[in-house]
Amino acid sequence: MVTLGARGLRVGYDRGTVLDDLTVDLTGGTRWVVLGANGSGKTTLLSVLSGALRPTAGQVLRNGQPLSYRPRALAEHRRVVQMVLQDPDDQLFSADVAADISFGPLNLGLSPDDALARVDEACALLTLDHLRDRPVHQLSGGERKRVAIAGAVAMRPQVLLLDEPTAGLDPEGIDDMLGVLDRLEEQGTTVVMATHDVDLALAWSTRALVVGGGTARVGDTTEILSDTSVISAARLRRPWPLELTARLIDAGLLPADGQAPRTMADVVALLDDR
Amino acid sequence: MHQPALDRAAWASRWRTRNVGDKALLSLGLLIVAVSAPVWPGGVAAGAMAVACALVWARVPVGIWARAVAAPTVFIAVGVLAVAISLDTSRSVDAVWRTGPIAITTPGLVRAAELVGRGFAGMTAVVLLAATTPMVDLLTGLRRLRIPDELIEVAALTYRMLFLFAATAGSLHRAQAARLGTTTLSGRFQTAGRVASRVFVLAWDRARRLEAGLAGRGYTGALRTVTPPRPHSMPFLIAATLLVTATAVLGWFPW
Repeated sequence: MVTLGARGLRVGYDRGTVLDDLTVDLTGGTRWVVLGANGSGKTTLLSVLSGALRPTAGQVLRNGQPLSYRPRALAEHRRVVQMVLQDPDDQLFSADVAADISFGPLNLGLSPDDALARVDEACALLTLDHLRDRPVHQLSGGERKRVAIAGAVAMRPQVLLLDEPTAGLDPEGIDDMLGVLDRLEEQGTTVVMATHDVDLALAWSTRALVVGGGTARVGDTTEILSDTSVISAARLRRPWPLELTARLIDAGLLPADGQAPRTMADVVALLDDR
Repeated sequence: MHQPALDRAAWASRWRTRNVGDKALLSLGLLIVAVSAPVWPGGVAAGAMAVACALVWARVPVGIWARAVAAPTVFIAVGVLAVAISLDTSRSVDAVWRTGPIAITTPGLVRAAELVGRGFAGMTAVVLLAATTPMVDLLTGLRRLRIPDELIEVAALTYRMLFLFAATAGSLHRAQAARLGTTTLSGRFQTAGRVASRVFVLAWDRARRLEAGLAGRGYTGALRTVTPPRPHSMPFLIAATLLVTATAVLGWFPW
């Protein structure tokens, strides 16, 4: 399994420093969320970890080794780590779904037949087979997101970084997307998702990375999202299962030593058990 | 997102899965007859055959076909006017109609009729291919003809981005109109100028972001892709050859 990390990252834009001496290790789990307020550096961090953005200081580590930005080293890094951007139109260059997905596998040096096999595999995983005969410009935003993800998945990365994959999707679309991420994780891919949705983060992930003030806090998702100081510093809110449970505990309706719930089913189970 | 009717027809065509070369044989064969055979009966026959193949065999919707040929037809009509009308100050030629030095002469009308015949026939032969073959398939076919990859990639990217920028321009225009930016003539010009300049800037930004996105997928300077091969259809090839041959015979045979 590939592990990603960073040491002393510093990244700045014209508007100022976004990441300042940030050190993280994405170990201990395969379902990660990156949380933070707008402008906190979530996308910047993912871009740096993917090799797309070079920090002004610090290092990206892959399996403990510093990432080199020489072309061959970057190409090797991209075989292992893929990033899906928030706007799918920043990645989709072909009007043909299958052709676009085949781009990455061909760049890996696969033969056309093997590349087409990867396209079939990615389309099956992302349930895109019914869209293969439609032009990209005819697809909805959610469908284009799935095509963009398929383009990355076809390269069989060991780590998949996704920038707000559920943004703009309807509830059913979100469920479909999470189903896709579940299947990827079951196949052995470490999935790292940047999101604003704390409820989704609590329900889906096991490890969380909260970015804010140039630095990051890493830990178990439930522990991180139960820490009110971390929540308020990152301009987040407590996920509703934790908020509801806290209020029920305050009202004496639930014991304080119960397991923290992550979903509605967990909350109902707590209430049934009392 | 607005999609031109011809593009929509091409993607939805029942001929979409046919080999591009097979379709090109039919279309280009009719085009060659249209431009080289005597206009009557060759050009007319080629045009009629192209229309029949599009509407009857390929079942291109009539409305879409009509919209596809409308603009080129207007273009041909304007060209025909320029050919039919001539300046004849010497009044040496018999005129069908004359006002002062401006006249419509019999030779001019003959040339105009030839232009209409050849132009319309050639245009319908090309529309037959365009209405049944998406641009991406045409570009794949051109790659197999050893057209330089760089040209193919520029064309493919332009095709993809045209829809993106058209959608953006449409959204910007609607937003301006919602804020009463198009209620006057000067307002419409200003809105058009603002939309154009904004789309220009967005195009640069989109190019930068797309380059970064492609770099993440291993882009090294070539937009190589692959699509499933489409096999040739011998029955289609035979039918296409027979149709083109019959049209050519009709066109050149000294009746």
